[in-house]
Amino acid sequence: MTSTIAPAIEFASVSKSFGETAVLSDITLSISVGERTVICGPSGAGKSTLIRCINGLEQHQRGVIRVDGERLTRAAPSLRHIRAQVGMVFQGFNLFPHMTVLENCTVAPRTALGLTRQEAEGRAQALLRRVDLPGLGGRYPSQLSGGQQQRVAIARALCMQPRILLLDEPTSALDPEMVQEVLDTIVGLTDLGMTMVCVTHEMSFARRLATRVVFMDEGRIVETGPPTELFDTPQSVRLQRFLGSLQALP
Amino acid sequence: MSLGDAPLAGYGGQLAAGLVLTIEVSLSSYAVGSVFGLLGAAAKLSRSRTLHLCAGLYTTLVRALPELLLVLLAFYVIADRIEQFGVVVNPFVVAVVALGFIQGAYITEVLRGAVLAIPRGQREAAQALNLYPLTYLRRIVAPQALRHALGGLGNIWLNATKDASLISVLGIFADVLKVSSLAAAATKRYVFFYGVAGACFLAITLVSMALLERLRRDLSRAYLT
Repeated sequence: MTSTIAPAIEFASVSKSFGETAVLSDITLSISVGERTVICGPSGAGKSTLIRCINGLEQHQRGVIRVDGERLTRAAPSLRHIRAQVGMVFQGFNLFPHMTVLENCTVAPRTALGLTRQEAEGRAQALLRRVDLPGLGGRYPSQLSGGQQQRVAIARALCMQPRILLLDEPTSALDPEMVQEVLDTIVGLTDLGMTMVCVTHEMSFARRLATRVVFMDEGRIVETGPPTELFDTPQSVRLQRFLGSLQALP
Repeated sequence: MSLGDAPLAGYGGQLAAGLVLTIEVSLSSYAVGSVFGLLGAAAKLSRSRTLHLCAGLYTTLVRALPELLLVLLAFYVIADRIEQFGVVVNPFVVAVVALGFIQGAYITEVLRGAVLAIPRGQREAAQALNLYPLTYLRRIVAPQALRHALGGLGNIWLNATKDASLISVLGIFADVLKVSSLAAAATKRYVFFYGVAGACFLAITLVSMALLERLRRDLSRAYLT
């Protein structure tokens, strides 16, 4: 097969272990440009580790990861090149608490991309409007609700104009009443055409967002397919059991 | 002799000069100590075993030994050795470096703890945003660490102002404590002159505390909801 466009993200037989425990076992996965992948599975399945390997926050031990055709290594130039294209939203927001919302959004564009203050602030203001937080640029993170903080974190990541956006359980640390606003914000980003990889436990959100769902368990990919197919006709016992456990929740 | 000077029995000028010297020694030694502290903390936070060991030795030894012993060692042993090579050593510099070396050990520990108190997610966010390591240190680590460290650094500073009077044992410095005790002995007005010395230190402390409080408020502005 001669593919003209390299996949956005490619895992080839990737493995990782912490000591004796294997967290990722022989992961092979190809994510095309513009695809929106949701990774689900029970806790401890290796979902977060998988997503954190993509921008080198965790190092894999065996196999090859390519991002936009570039092989990920531990070398600083490779990491910088890949991170320039990969944005990330964390479970715990990880905003810089001593900086205002606007400073959070402009520090990286100004220093890492060399934008002027005006350019960076213009970009930040536009994206803050996009995540429905206009006029909050002067606030500090501590003055915002959890949902607002996570939306700032999304805007902050987008300010770097990434081609790939990683979301690591973006609503798991939120109070229930704030989950929806963040999920709606994320679904609202689909028209940007970014490649998105999202770890989440919100199954109805997964249906709205994903073009593909990857189900993981015990460090392996068990099943993968479009959301309707995977959720409505799960093939494996493990996926059936996992979906059953979610329905059992109140 | 002016009327206002009368209670000071002619020691007013010397006391003022002594106070200035005390403040000079405090500020200079604290600046030197900050450099030692930054280096020490960097070594303790580094991955190098050798640097770890060196910094561990430094903080353990310096914190174990009496300040006075270290000042005497610096003056009568180390400075003396250096002068044997034909280099003239400025006693003020020796005193300031010796005191700074001592403060640096305490500053090392405070800064190390302050950096470790920064949540891991801050580093990950900086990495994901592709911040340069230097930008990360300057814009993310330094301001947050300073806020965590401020209490400890303030304590070390207040100690520094008092430790500055250790140099009086070297005989050649007339800091505010030394002048006061000379004046007290000469006039037999011990309560008064030791009181003056105490008042000077109290004044330094009160001014320091006001400045520290303002700094604390500036650094905490982002955290008040």
